[in-house]
Amino acid sequence: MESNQPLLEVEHLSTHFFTENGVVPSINDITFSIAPGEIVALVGESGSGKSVTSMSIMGLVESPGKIVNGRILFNNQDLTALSYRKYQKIRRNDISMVFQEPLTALNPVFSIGFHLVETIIVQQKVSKKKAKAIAFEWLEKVRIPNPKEVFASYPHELSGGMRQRVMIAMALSSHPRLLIADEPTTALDVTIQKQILDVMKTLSKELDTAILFITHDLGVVAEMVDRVMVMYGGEIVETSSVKQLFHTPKHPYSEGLLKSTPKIQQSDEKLDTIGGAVPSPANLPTGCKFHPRCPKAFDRCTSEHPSLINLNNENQVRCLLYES
Amino acid sequence: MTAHTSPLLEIKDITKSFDFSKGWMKKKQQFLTAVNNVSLTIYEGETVGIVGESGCGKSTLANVVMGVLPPDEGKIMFNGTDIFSLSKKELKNKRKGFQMVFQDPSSSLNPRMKVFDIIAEPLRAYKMAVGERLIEEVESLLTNVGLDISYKERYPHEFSGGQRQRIVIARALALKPKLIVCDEPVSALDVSIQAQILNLLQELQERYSLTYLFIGHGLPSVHYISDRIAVMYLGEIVEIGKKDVIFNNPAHPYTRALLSSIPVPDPDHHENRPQESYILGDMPNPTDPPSGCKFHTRCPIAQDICKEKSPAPASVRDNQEAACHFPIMEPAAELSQEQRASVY
Repeated sequence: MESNQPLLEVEHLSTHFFTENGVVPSINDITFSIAPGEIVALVGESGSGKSVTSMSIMGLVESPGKIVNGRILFNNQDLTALSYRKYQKIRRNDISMVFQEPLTALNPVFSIGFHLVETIIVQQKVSKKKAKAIAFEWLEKVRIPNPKEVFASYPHELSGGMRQRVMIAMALSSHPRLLIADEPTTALDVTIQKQILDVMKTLSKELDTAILFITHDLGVVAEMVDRVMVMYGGEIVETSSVKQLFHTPKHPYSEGLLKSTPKIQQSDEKLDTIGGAVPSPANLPTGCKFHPRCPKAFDRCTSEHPSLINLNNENQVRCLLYES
Repeated sequence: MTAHTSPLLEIKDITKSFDFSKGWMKKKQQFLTAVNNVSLTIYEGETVGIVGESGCGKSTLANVVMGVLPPDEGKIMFNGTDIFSLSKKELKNKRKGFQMVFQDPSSSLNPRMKVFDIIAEPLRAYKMAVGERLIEEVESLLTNVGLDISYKERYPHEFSGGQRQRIVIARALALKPKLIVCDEPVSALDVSIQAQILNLLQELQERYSLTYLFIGHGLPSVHYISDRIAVMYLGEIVEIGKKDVIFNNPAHPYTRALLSSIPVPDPDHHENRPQESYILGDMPNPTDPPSGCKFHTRCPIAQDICKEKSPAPASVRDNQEAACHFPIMEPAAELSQEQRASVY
């Protein structure tokens, strides 16, 4: 195990939001790890807690939100115990993030070049001239066809795909060990999505950067990642290798999610659906969070909260059906 | 599927451009041709899907079909009548026959109205029902879209996205239309909810013999619900045909590229897949579209003629038309039979 020291270990992480209307337990008891260079997906629907998980890792949870329990070990250093300055250093050099909507992540009054050069100067402490050279190098790495033009333009002048490339260049220019990508392609068209995914995959390999990929699109999961964590109601309900998840999903929710994705060959049949709606994190059911929508639920599910069961080394599931 | 006999909606040579001219006295002339010479016939009882990337003009086309945006050229014939030749009053009457479902249910429902009033509004506007009848009518609409009748006293914010979309669908159904234009009705919903809404639309189609014009960029859902699919690029329909023909034997290089870009939810597929060619770069600026075939700047098989001459739509196979100088005739080579089955 020593040779395979995980890069990021999240242990029993719970983040709650203390609102006027009561405590909202957005994520509960999240435990997972990411190895160096590994691409892992966090899959779930809106309100499942995927984004709160990524914000917690980045230390960006703001009041009324608070990490109430758990540790986040990055290179064996507990991030939750860090001072703001030390956290800043980690965010600057070791963990980067790419957001869903690049337009809101870029400052509209500064040019793309300014964004990149500023980031590079802060991160790498180089001269402005050197930073500019590095910026151009990165624009080429993310396969921007006309780097000179893009360097001089402002965020609103670029298409969504170009903006997202710039975001990726900014995020990766410090050679981070971990990149958190929160639905980076959801706002993009499929042909652009494909190009962006390709860039991310290639650069991750080149730089040996691990990626925590947050998405709700199972097609993207199959294309991008090695391992998947499925979230529901603020918990991880299944961890699995990609292949295992697609061939033999264990948790009824994962199974339902896979079945409700339209596929070409079954076009004239009815789609299988998961009944009901995603529960609001403020109003989660008792027992297993999925039981009101679960076709396999039985009486114990309503009252007993299942724990994460180890099926084998890489496969865990949170479901009473798998208790031995 | 039912045999499609008489045309319900005929979109005839529609062109719609927007004036973006700038400066004093509009010296800098700039036009965006959102829809360029599009023709499409929709027969009774069928579902025609329109797919394309953002900016291809699919929503503009929907607005023209609804009679909301007058076209620069061309006609919209609904049941044999040109809707833009009608007076305002006549159009209002005609619009009973075609209704719309929008993408984002939270912005298409008035937050200050109760569900009952939202669904009753079209019935009141057309004086179709009052009193007891109105209540009955609204309750039966709620039941038909799978909502509890007790929900009528609630406000839109009390519902989830999927339930709100059901309310929008109930409102669209209230006037018993023949055609429903669905503009990305599931794009804003969660995956597990999308399937519910798609199934509901299909059930309603069978029950009320509805005709759908279904606009989407999520190719799997468009494929699931449609009989025929039209692919749009920069304001033009580049290919149209039966859905399985389009998905199995796309003839236009753009369709092919679009299909190969869809992420396939099958990890094995990605291991065995050879490095495919896919289109590079972004869509050109629609205010300054390329000459000739609009796709030639991104097309892997473009020749000189493509830069000069715009290709006319021509029949490629039965039930398939493509606007390309060099339509690809052999079946999609990069996908084996088995892989094709798993493409969604």
